Amino acid sequence: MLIMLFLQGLVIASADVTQRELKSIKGVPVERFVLYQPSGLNFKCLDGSRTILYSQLNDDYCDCPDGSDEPGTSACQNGHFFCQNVGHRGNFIPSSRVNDKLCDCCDGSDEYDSGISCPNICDELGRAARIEKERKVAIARKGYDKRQELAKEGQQLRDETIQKLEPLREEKTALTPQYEALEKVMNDANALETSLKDAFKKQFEDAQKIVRKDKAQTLFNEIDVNKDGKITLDEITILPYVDRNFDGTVSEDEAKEYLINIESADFEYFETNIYSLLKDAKKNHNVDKQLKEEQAQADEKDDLDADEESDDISTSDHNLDEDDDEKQPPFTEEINNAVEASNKARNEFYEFKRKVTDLEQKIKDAEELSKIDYGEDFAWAALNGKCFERNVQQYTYKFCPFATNSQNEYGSGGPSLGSFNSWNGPENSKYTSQRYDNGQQCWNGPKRSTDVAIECGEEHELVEVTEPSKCEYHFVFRTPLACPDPETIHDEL
Amino acid sequence: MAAGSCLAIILLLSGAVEMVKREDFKTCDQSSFCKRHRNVKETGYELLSNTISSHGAEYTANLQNSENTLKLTITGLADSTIQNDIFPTPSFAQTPEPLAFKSFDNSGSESTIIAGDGKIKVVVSFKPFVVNVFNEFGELVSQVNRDGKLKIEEFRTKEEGKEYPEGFWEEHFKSFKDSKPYGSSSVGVDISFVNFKTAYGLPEHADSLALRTTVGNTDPYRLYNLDVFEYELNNPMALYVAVPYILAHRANRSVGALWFNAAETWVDTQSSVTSHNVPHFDAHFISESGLVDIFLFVGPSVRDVQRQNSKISGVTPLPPLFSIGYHQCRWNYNDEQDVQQVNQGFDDHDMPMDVIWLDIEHTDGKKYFTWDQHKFAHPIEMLDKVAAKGRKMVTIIDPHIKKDDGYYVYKDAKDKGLFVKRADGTTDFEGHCWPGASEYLDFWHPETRSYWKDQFTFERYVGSTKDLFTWNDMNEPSVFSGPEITMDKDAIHYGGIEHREVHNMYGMMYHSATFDGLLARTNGQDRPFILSRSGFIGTQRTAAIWTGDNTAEWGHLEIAAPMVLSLSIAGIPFVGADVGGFFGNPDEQLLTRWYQAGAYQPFFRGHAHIDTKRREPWLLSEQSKNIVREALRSRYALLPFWYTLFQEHTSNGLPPMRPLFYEFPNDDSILEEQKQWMVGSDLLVRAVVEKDTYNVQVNLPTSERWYDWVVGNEVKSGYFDAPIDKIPVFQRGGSIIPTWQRIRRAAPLMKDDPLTLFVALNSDGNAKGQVYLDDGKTHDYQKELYVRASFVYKNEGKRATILGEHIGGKLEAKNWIERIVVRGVAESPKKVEITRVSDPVQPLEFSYDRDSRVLIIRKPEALITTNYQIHIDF
Repeated sequence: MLIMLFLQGLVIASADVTQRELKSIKGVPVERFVLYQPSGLNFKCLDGSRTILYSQLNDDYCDCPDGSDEPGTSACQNGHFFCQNVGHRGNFIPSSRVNDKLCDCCDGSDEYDSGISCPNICDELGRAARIEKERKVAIARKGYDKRQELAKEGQQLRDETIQKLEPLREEKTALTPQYEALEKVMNDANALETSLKDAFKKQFEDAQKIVRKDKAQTLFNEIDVNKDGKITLDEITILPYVDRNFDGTVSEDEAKEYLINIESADFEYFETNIYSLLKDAKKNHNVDKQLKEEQAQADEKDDLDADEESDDISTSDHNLDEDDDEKQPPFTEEINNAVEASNKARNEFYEFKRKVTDLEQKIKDAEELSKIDYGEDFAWAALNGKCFERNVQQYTYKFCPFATNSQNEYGSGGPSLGSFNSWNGPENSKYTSQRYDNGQQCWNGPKRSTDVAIECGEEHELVEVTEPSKCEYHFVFRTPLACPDPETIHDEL
Repeated sequence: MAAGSCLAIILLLSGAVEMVKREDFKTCDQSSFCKRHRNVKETGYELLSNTISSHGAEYTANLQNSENTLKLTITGLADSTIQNDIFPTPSFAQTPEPLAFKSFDNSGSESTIIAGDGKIKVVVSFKPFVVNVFNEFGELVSQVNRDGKLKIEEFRTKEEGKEYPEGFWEEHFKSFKDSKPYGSSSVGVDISFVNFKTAYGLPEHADSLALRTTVGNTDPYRLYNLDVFEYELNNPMALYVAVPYILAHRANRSVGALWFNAAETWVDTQSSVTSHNVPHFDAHFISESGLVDIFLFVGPSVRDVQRQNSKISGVTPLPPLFSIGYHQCRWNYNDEQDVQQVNQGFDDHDMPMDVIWLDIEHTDGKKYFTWDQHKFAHPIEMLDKVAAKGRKMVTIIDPHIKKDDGYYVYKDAKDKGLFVKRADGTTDFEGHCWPGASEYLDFWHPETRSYWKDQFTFERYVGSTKDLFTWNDMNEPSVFSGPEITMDKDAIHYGGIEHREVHNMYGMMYHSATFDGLLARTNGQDRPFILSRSGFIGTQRTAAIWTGDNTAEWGHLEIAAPMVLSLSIAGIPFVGADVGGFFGNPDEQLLTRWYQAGAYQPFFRGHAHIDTKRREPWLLSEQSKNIVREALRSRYALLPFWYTLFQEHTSNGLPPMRPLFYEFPNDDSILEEQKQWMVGSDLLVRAVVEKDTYNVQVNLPTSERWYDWVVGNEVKSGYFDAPIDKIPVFQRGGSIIPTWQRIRRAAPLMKDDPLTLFVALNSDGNAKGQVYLDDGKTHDYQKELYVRASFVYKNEGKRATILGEHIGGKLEAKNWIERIVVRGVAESPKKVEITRVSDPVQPLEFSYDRDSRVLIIRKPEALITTNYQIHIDF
C-alpha cells in the first residue's frame, strides 16, 4: 500500500524529466529512476538517513537502514525489487526473492545471478490476465445488471416497508383516543359493579352477626342451668356432646378445653371463645348419633346400598354445616345489571386492544426489516427469506442470508451453523463477508459459526464450503449482488 | 577417544544363567516386579574367587547367593562395546573393539583391573560383591551393587504347590491379564555415583532437568513407552521415549551409566551423603526382564562422557538443511487447497517456512500410504506446488495397520505373516487405534523390515515425491484397547521374543525401518528426515523426536526446555516441543513467547490439535504477527550456526542445545539451571516462559564476557528487559558466529548466501569460530563435497587480525563474507585492510559505534573457500 502511494507521487515528480536521459537502475520502476540519479559521487538513502557512495548503490551490500540502496539485489531484508514484466503488469517483490533460485518475476529478471534461467512468460501471463480480466468484466457486467434489478426490487421492498410503516403508525395513533375511551368505560363499569357488590355483602354480614348472637344466647341459656349468668365447669361436664373420645362420659379434661385457664365464662366470653367450639361439638355429636342409627339400619342392606347411604350422609353433613350461616341471597337486579354492563365494557376493550397489538407487531416487523443492512443499494433485501445449498459428500450445507445456516446429513435436519450477526468485511469493503454465529454447540468445541465470503458471480451460488477450524465454517457465495459497476473496474484486474 | 575410558559390565545367569487418567497407568505398587525390587534389602551376592578368569579385555567370574549363581563379565572397551544376544538388530552405533586390559591383579578379597590406556581402574570386591570404578585421577566415581540390591529372577517352570510372590506368574491390571508364561524374570541393581550430588537423564519425563530424589517421595522414574493423553507436569510417570541413561556431574567431573535394557524399567533415585559427608547419587535400576548390562562412561569431563556414550548409542547423522528450519503442522490441513493457502500465507506475510505437514486425516480411512480421494486427489501436483517454493512436505505414517482386506499393506503383511502375534504365538495380535481394528507390524521380522523399506519407493507410495518426508507417530506402540494404552506384554515377536522383552525398542525398530525406506528411495543419495514420537537408546541415528502431545499452557512451555535438554544429554539431540502446545488454544502472548523459545530449540515445529482454533501466524494481531516473523527470522539467520553444530555433533556427540553446565563444567551454581540454555558453546538463551513477564534475571557465568545478541553491547549478570518482542539471548566472548542475514522463503534457498560473522571478543580481545556448509540435501558430503572454514580474531595490541581459513572439504561453495560485526572493540580503528591470496591489499570500509562498542566491517567479499587476512589498525 505504501508503495502504491509512493508511485503515484513519483509519476508527477518525473513528469518534467525525460526518462530516456536517466540512468536505469536494476529493480526500480522507470518512473522512479529519477530518485536514483547521482548527486556528485553520492547517493542519499531515500529516507534521508545516510549518504553513501554512488558506487555502493546496488553493490550487494545493504547500507541504507530503509533498504533503498539495494533495489536490485537481495542484500537488504526490508528492500523491494521491481519486476518490469513488460507485456504484463509490473510488480514489487521482497528483496529476499532476488536470486533465490525461484522465478518470481514473469520476465525472469529476479534471477539474474543465481545460475537459474527463468523464461520470460509475461506475454503469456499478460494475455491470460487480459482474458481473465475480460471474463471477469463480462461476469461483472451481467452480474451488475442483475444486481441493479435486484436493487430495484430491494429498494421497492424497502420503500414499501417504509411506506407501510408511516400509515401503520398513523393508524395506531388514530386509534388511541378510542382505546383510551373504551378503557375508561370498562374501568368505570368495573368500579360500579364492585361498589354495589361490596355494599350488598356488608348488609348481609351485619344481619348474620345479629342472628349468630341470638343463637349464642339461646345456647348459653340452655347450658347455664343455674341461670347465674355464668357457665362453669360443672355445667359443661353434663353436656353429652363434649365427650370427644366417645367413651360415654365427659371427663374433666374434656370439659376444661372450653374453659382454659378460667373458672367460668360470662356471655361475652362465651360468644367470643366458646360458642363456635361448642356449636361444632354439638353438631358433630348429632352427626355421629345419626350415623350410628343409620348404620344399624344399613346392616340389613347390601354393600352397594351402604355406599350410597354414606354419600347421603356427606350431603346431610354439608347441610348441617350451613345451618347457622345463612346463604347470601341472590343479587338485586341493580347489581346484575351492573355486572352485565361491566362484562360488556371489558369485552369491547379487549377486542379493540387486540387490534392495536396486531398493529404494533406490524410496525415492529417493518422497523426490524428496515434495520437489516441490505447493502448500499438495498439489493440484498431480495435474498431475505431465501436459502442456497451445496452438497459435499453426504452433507448438504444451507446458506440462508440474514437467517440461520445449517448442515444436513443425508437429507435429514442437522445442526445450525450460526445465525446472521453482521457484515464483517474489512473497513473499506464491508459487504464482502458476513458473519453467522451462535449455532449449535460442538462436542469438545465452540458453538458453530460461519464466515461467508461474498464474490461477484452471474448467479446466486454457494460455491465452496470448508471447515478451517473445527466447527468454524467458511462459505464462498457468488452472487450478482457483489458485482461491481464494470465502469469502476480498472487495472486492479 | 581415550581408550578404555568406557567399560561394559554384563551379568548373566550362569548355566541357564490426569488431565491424564492416572488410573490408566500403573504405579510401582501395581507392578509386582517393581514393588519387589524397590523393597529389596541386601541380596548377599559374593564373588567366587576360584571362578575368576581374565584375558584380553575380558574379566569373568561367578557370583553366588542363597538363590542363584550368576556369571559376571567386565569388558574394557575402546570406542565401543560388545554384541548382545537378545537384541539382534540395530543396537549399537558400530561394532566395537574391546581394548585389552593393561594389568590384572588378584588379592585375597578383590581383583584390580587397569584398563588398556591405564586411565581406568576397576576394583572388584568379592564379599560382598561390589564393582568400584576409579577415573584417571584415581578418584572413586562409581560403585555397582554397593547397596547389595542385585536381584535377578531367572526364567523357570512353574512348580505346582510352590508359593510364589504376588503377581509372579499371571498378573492383572484393571481388566487386563498378562499371562506371564515364564514367570517373573526381572533384574535390578544399584549404581552409585560417588561424590556426585546431581544427576541427569532418564528421558522422557515432563520433569525437572536435574533428577530428583524419588526414594521416599514419589514413584521411581518409569521408563515404559506409553501414549499418555494430556500428560501432567512434574512427575516421574512414563512418556513416549525411554533412554535408561544417567549422567552424574559435579565441578569438572562427570560420569555416565547406560542401562542397556528394553523392557519396562523403573529407576529409584536418591541424592544423599555418607556418614563421612561424601555426597553420592544412587540409582536403583529395575527392569522387568533382560540382563543386567551396564555401560559406564568414566569421563572425566562431561564432553568426554557425551562422546563416549555417542560411540555406543550413536549420533544423529547430518540432517537435511530444511529440517532445521521451521515446520508448520496441524491436525489437519484439510485438503489440497488448504495446503496451498498455508504455503501462500507464509509468502504473503513474508515469513520463512520449510515444511508443511499432513496428519492422519490426509489418508483414505487412516490407511497409511494412501490419500483421501476427495481432499487429496492430486498429491503430486500439491507437492510440486509446495516444492516450487523451495519447501517440503511430511505425511504421517503410523505402525498400526487397518484391518481391511482391501488395504494392500494389510493384505501383504497378512499373507507374509508380518504382524505381531498374540501370546499363543500363532494368531495375529489385534488392537484398536485410529482406523479402528488394526494389526501391528513386527519390525523384528527381517521380512517386515525389507517389506517396509520397499513401501517408500516412489512407485509403491503413490503420490509421493522426493520432497515428501515421514512422520512416525503412535509407535510406543499406542493401542487404544490395550493395557496402559499399549501392546500386551505377552504378545510375541519374530523368533518367539515376548513383547515384554523389547517394548521400549518398538518405536525405534519402526522408525529405523522407515529410515531405511527413505534412504533407499533415492538409492542413498538424499538424506532422510523422520520425526518419531517414541524412541530408545540409538533413536538419534534415524529420527528426530518431539515431546508428544503437550498443552497450550505456560507450564508446558516452561517444561519444554528441560525435556529437550534431558533428551539431548541422553544422546538424542534433534528434539523439540510442539510450538503453541498441541491441546488447547494458546493466547497470543503464550504463542509468541513459544515461537521465541522454539526458535532456539533444535526441532522447531508449530502444531495444533484438530479441536483447536487455527493459529497460523498471520491470523494473529499485527503486533504478534510481526513478533512471530522476527522469531522465525532469528532462527533462519542462525541456520549456518545450527547446521555447523549438527555437523560437529556427528563427530563429538555434543548436542546443539546444551545445559549451561556443559559449557561451564566447573561452576557448581548452575547445576540445576533449566530456564537458561546454550546453543552450541556460544549462545546463551533465556526464554521467557512466565506469563506477563517483561523483565527477567539472567545469570551469566562470570568467567566470560557476554554481549547482547541483538544490540551487541557488553552486559553482565542481572535483570534484563524482555518486552513482548524480545527474549534475552547473549553471545559469549571469544566466539565467532556465522549467520545468514538474507532471510528467504525456505532454508535451502539460502544455502549459497553470503555470511555475516558476529565476532565477540573475550577478555584477551580474541575470538574464534567455524562454519560448515554443504549442499544441505544429499550424502555428497561423504565424498568431501562440503566446506569447512575457520575464523580467528587475534588481538595484537595496536593491531588485530582476522584470519579466514578454508580448512576442509572440496565443495566449491559460493558463500562469501558480506559483513563482519565485531563486539567489544574498545576504540575505533584507524584503518581496516584485507589481504586475499595473490591480491593486492585492499582497504575496507567500516563503521564503529562508540556506545555499543561494535565495529562493522563492510563487505570483505572473501569466499569462505579461500584464505584471507583482515588487518585492523587502531
